[in-house]
Amino acid sequence: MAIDEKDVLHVARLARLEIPPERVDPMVRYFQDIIEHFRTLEKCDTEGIDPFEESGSHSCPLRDDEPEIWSYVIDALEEAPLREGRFFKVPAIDGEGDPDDLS
Amino acid sequence: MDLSFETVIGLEVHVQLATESKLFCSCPTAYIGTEPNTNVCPACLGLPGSLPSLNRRALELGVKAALALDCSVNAMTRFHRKNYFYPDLPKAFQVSQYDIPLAVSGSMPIFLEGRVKNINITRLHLEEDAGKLVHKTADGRLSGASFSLVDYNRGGVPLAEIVSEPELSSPEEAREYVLTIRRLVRYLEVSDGDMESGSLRVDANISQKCSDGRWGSRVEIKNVNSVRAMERALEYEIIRQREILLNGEEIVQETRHWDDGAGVTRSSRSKEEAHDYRYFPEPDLPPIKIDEELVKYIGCSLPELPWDRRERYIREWGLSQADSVSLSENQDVALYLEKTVAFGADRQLAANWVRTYILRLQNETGVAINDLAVGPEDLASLLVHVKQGSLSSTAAKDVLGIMFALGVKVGAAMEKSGISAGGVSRDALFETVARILEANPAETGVIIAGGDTAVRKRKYLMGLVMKEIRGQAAGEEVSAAFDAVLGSIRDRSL
Repeated sequence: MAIDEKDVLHVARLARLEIPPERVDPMVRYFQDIIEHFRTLEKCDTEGIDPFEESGSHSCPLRDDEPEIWSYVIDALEEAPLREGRFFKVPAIDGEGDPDDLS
Repeated sequence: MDLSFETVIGLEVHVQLATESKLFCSCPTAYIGTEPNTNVCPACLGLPGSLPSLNRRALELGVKAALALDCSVNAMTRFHRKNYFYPDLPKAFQVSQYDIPLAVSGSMPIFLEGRVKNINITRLHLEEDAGKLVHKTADGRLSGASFSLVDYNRGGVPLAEIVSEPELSSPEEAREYVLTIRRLVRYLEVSDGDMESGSLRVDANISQKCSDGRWGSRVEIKNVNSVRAMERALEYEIIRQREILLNGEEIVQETRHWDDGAGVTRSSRSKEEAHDYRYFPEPDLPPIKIDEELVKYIGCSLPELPWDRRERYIREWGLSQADSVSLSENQDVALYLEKTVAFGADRQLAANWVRTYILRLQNETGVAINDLAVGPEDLASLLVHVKQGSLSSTAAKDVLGIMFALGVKVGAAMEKSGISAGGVSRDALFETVARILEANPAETGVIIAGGDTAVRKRKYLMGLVMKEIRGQAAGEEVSAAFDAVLGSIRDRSL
């Protein structure tokens, strides 16, 4: 798959990143390098192997439904670059963005 | 050429599962009326190094709902990361399910205008909810705000997403489908199903099939926050799409947001495609083997489903559609009714009384039906009197009121109300007749004088007496009492 400027700008938009024009070209090359690396990986013979056979025969461990309060919430809030009262404060989002809009 | 259209609707219903803790961490699930960012931890804040840990109860509730929807539960299921950048997702991905959902291929009957229609269910999968954003503009609009405030209390709360096949053909069917799911999840205690508070959310996909063979693109509608809003949004969209097709134009495949105030859907600028989400298996959660025994156990412990119960009430009990719906949608109500019948009450009578009076008392007092002062046994003994004719319905209603107010049994309540099974006493009847006649001297005069309107006046006064004694005497008894009292008045006036 050939990566071009359009792909880079599209991914940047999804990631809400602004890329200065002079950075676009180097990004295209980085993207191409990454894709090239995966082409190398693709040469491995994976016939008959579950693509995500990461866990062997173990099933996911389950946790009992017992609520617990985390006692360092205030510390977490204080670590945030911006906050207002108990809210985290973030720059407004350009565009609606929330594609699944569960909120 | 006259064109006709068929509407095709598919729904995605998100149901918040009734767990105590979140899907992948132990934070409490309470987010309504809770201080912002109280129930959060490194996992649901997406802090580096935190790992998810799957809630067993959420999985079980998902299986329960899936089995009730007649789905096949997959023996192995797994979670995927759905990537998108938005501040309501601190990890920048939502843990959801993709290629192997918890359950697939179910169906659910909906009842509309006396017909049953089976709606096929594509899948049921589990996912975590996102946080909530508060946009800081005076009018609450997104545009123009310079920053947003984020509350992650809701982030990570477990949801089951139930996806229907595109088999609903009208807003009314969509409405009935959502209401049936809501009744089901409440009945199974899988969720509180409250749409207003957001425990049940719906996204609708709608398209039009035109009689000339054209098939309009599918449009997804979001931001419908009530069943009514969903119906209105679908009605609006049907008209909009048909107009486009009638003009010979193409419908744009897109996501549109419902604006409830303006009563319109608006194009959303979001253009993400499925591949933009870069779904990939959640590496921090191994695939989950669903224990066959657990599925069997949950399957066996499912109560009789509301639609089966409803069918039984119609077929075996002879109840009306309306009665059988309202009496079967809540399991506690259904059990109350069935116990009342088991204690000897007539089915139809019990159904009427539970639906009319017991449910009303439950709503008025806010006391759960199982905690009401009058239990099924008490109601049954009252209804036995009604069935035998020893208590009129009106009198029985008063007795029921006393049973509730004082928490007493039927006998004591009847004594208290001065009602004895069999009607009012002779003295009480005579006393009432005399009082009514005295209070209406003009009518009484006409009756005694035997004028043209005497018969009508007599009927009117007898009606007043009947009302006073709450119908606790037969018409002949009242008539006899009238004759006797009128006789003595006549004697007195001579």
